[in-house]
Amino acid sequence: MDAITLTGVTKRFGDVVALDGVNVGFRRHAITGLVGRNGAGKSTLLDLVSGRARASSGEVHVEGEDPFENRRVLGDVCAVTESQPYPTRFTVEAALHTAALLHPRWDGELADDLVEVFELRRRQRIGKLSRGQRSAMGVVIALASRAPITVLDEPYVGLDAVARRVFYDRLLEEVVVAPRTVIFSSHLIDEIAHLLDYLVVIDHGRVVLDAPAESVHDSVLEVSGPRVLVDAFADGREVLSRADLGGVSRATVRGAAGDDAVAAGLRVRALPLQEVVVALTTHPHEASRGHVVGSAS
Amino acid sequence: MTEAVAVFRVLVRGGLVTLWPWLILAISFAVNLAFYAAAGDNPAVVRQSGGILALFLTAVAANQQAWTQVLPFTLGLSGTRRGFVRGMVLFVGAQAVLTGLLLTALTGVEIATGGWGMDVRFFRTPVLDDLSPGGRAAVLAALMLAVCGFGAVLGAVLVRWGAAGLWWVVAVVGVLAGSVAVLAVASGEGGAAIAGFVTRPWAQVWLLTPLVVAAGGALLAWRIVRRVELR
Repeated sequence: MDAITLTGVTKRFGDVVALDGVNVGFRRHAITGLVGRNGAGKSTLLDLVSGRARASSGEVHVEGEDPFENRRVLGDVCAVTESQPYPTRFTVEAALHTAALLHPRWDGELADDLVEVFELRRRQRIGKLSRGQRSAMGVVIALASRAPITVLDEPYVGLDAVARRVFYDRLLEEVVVAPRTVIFSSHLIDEIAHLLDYLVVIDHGRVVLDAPAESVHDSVLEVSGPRVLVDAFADGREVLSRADLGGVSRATVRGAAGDDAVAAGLRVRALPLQEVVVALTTHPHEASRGHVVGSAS
Repeated sequence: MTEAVAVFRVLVRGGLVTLWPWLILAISFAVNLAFYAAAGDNPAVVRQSGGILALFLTAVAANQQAWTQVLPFTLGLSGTRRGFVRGMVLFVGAQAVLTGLLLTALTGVEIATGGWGMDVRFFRTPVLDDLSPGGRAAVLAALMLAVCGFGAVLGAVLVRWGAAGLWWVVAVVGVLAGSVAVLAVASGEGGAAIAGFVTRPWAQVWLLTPLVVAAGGALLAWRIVRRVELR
C-alpha cells in the first residue's frame, strides 16, 4: 500500500518542465531512494510531497489527501533538504523548539541525544554554523520529529563520513522503533544502498525505474565477450550502453537474466546500484568515444 | 496547540520583531536626551523631537524580516501559509497593544517629569495632545498596526518575487503617487482635499485610516503569499 502517490503530475517553471506526467507511489513504512542527476526533478517532486509547492497538473496525495496547505497532512510530514531555510539569527535551540512546536510527535529526549551525538551547541546562532553543523541540525529535526512521512533531500551535505554513518544507523533504528515512510534523495547511491527497500530513478522529469532495491541489481547486467555473441544476446533486449573494442564488446542490458547470458557464453557482472543508475541516466551525447548509449537492439 | 500559536511563539522567541524596534527606540531616546542636555536652555532649539518615529520605521523593517525569514522557516518545517499569516496577525495584534500601552505610559512619565527635566517632547506629538490616555493608546496601536501592514506587504513581495519585485513595487507606487500629486495640483483641489481630510473627526483620521491601511496590507500580503512556493 502506498502512503504517497503522484498521478500524472507535471510541474512547470515557466517553459521548463521539471516533472513530466509522473506516476509513482511510495510504499508505506519503507525507505525509498529517489535518485537521479542534477536537475532531474527530484527536489521538485519532494517539494510537492511536502506541500512546499503545488503541481501544475496531476494529483499528489499523501495519506489520501493533497498536502498543499493541509495542516492535517503536513503535521505528519517532516521534510529536510540540503537548502533548508533557517533564520540566521535564530539559535539551534530556537530552531529545535520551533520544530517541536510544528511536529506533534516530536521526541525531545531523542533530540537531546542527537544534539549531543552530533556535538551541536544549542546557544549557537544558525548563521555561525558550518555547512556540516547545519546539516546535522536538519538530521536531528528529521529524526526527532518522528514524522510518519519523512522526506530527506540530501540532508547530509557537509557531514563527514563518520557523521553520515551515525545518521544512517540512527535512521535505521528509528524506522524500526517507529515505522515511517521515508523518501531519501541522494547522490551517494552506493553509500545509502543498504538502507533502501525501494528505488525510484528519475531522469528529465520522468520516472525511469521504480522497483524493489534488491531486484534492481538483477534488472541491469553488464555482459561482455566476443562481439558476435554480445550482438546475438542483445538482440531484442534493451541495451543501455555498449562499448566495442576490436572483436570484443561490453554491453549494459536491462531486463536480462544472468543465467541466459552465461548460457550464451558471455561473462556477466552484476552492477552496483550507482552504476545501474548511471547506466539508466546517461544520454547518448554524454557517452565516451567507443561507447554507444541506449542503442537500438 | 494550534499552528498560529506556534508561529506566534516562534516570533516572540526569535526576537526578530520584538526586540530590535524597541532597542532602536531606546537608542533614539538616549541620543535625544544627550542632545537636549547639550543644547541646554538655548531657545533656538525646538523641543519637539521626532525620535519616536524610530520605533515605527524600524517596525516596518522588522515585520518585513519576519515575513522573509520566518515564513520560509515555518514552511520548511511543515507549516502552512495560512497558519503563518494567522500567527502573524496574533503577533502583530499583541505588538500593537503593547506599543499603545507602553508609549502612553512613557508619555505619562514624560509629562510628570516635565519633559525629562528638559521640557523635551519625545513621546508626545501635537496631533495627539488633546486625546485621553485611552484614545492615545488606541491611536498608537492603530498606527503600529498600519506600519506592520505595510511591512507585511513588503515582506510578502520579497518572499514571492525577490528584490526585483520590491523594486517594481517602488516604481509603480512612485508613478501612482506622482500621478495623483500632479492631478491634484493641476486641478487645484489638492490642498482642499488634504484640509478636508485632516479636519475630520480624530477617530476617523487617526484610528479608522490606520486600521483600514493595516487591514488592506494584511489582505494584500495574504493574497501574495497564499500560493507562494518554497524554493
